[in-house]
Amino acid sequence: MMLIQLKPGEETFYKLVFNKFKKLDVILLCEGETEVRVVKALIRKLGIEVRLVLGLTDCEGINLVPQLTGVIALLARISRKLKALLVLVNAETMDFIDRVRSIVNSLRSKELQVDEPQPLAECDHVFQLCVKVDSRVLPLVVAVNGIKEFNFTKHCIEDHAVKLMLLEGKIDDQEVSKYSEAKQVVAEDEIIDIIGEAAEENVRSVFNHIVCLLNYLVRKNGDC
Amino acid sequence: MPIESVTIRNFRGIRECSMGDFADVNVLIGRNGSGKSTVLESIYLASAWVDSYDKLHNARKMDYVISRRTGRGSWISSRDVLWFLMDVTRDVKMKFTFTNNDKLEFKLIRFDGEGNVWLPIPGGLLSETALIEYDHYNYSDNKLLSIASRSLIGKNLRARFIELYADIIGFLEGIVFIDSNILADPKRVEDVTWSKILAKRLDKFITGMVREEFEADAEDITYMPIGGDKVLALKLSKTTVRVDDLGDGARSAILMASILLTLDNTAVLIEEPESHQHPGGLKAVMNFVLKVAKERKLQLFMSTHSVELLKILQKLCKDVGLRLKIFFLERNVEGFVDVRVLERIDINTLLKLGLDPRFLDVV
Repeated sequence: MMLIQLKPGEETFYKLVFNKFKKLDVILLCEGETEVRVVKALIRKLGIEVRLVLGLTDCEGINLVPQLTGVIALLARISRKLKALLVLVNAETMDFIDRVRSIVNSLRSKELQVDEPQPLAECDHVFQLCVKVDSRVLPLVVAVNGIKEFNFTKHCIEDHAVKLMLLEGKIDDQEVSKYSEAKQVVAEDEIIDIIGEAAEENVRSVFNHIVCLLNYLVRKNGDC
Repeated sequence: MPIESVTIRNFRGIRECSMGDFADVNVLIGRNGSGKSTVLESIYLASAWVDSYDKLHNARKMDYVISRRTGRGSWISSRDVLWFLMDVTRDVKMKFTFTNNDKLEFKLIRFDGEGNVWLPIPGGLLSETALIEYDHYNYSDNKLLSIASRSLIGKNLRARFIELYADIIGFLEGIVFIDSNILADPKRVEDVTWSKILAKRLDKFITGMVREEFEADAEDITYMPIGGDKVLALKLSKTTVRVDDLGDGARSAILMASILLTLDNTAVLIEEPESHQHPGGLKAVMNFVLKVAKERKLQLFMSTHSVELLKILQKLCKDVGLRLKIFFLERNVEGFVDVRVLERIDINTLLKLGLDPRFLDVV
């Protein structure tokens, strides 16, 4: 997989000017920088290979649905060569499907035709749908971060890091139960090290939703 | 009567291009050869239907379009270059709609020896004037042409066309093309604009703009005798400098401002206004341009390669209260131009995502 980190824009500019890449097949929109780093770490760790050019960027921590869907709507409207748009968001206080439905409703309120989201068979955190703009149909795949078995008030990417720490024996349930949010258990900058040090099968299982998101590309393999 | 949309067929490098829902300020971006300048030239040529001669560039507009990029050629010698792939069997057509919903489709006709822009005559008007054998009209020279018999006569249809299209004729008549050629020719701009500017003391506004960014001690613009001629010069606190001798940025700014201040209710075509400008100078010039555009009802069409210009225009259009639209043009090998429209907010969003709007063709 050719992975292009789109931020900072200056670096992308030089890559474009010096013809390092000529098109993006897929853009993965992450909620924040942490998610971008996690995705890159997972690709490295698990050796995921796809024949597509994947642009990776974040929405600067936007968790407000209208702003996120503004970005999705813009990319759906102006893109011509994108084969799919992937989105990685935090569940926050919502159920996974409700989080995706809020995105769908917001896209519809922007007068975009959007299908009903369908969960992928292999992961109930990942939903597939299509956005129609004019005569073009753009597949949209949304993966939602969060592990509901934790009693946290908000669910986010750090939930998965906490789960990985449990599987790796770096923390126990009793310790975890003391905190109201995963972010209190694990700092953003520790997640990458935790992934790097963990057993591959544990990483694959805990971050299954992101693996499914990336496997969506593997399955399509240049033919979304 | 501002332009609402344009469709271009078989003109220069464009097989077909449609752009619509124009705003007050329309900016064309895209890679080299995407068709930005050709779109500006098509609007310019529409104005040649009303007036074939360009006082500012001191040339017939058709000849200027042929020669302006390299300084070579004219309608007489090189007209075929205006046809897409020089395929003269296909008509060059430029269809315009205006904000009052009027539609006019201009044509270039190769056997026309002079290089006029023609408008097919509406059917009703033909029978009304008993000139059924003629099918095209040129307002500028008040001529009729028959495609079938290849004949041409002068006939006074002007009054009738003015009745039908007075607002559009007025709008097209005023169109100016500001490109690097004219901004490198202070004498020409002086000759055409400065009597009008001085008559209304509009020079004060230009001095104000110069003072804001280019020469803090600029006091006035005057005429200075040099070499037996009188030339435009900028009075500074301790000296006076010919406009010719100013830096390229300041000179371009003064000339562009001079042209704009003589216009009303028309379109202004500006090719790469960022040329020679420091970002501070670009902001000062654009601030001036937009305020004049708002005051004098000028619809702006600009081509650019500058993301700084886009950012400056976003901010200033909001401040001045003008609607901005950015059009990304991408031409395929068959000559069809795909146009993607970006509103003001879209540019910010793209930049935040790390996508440079000038490279939209990657997505």
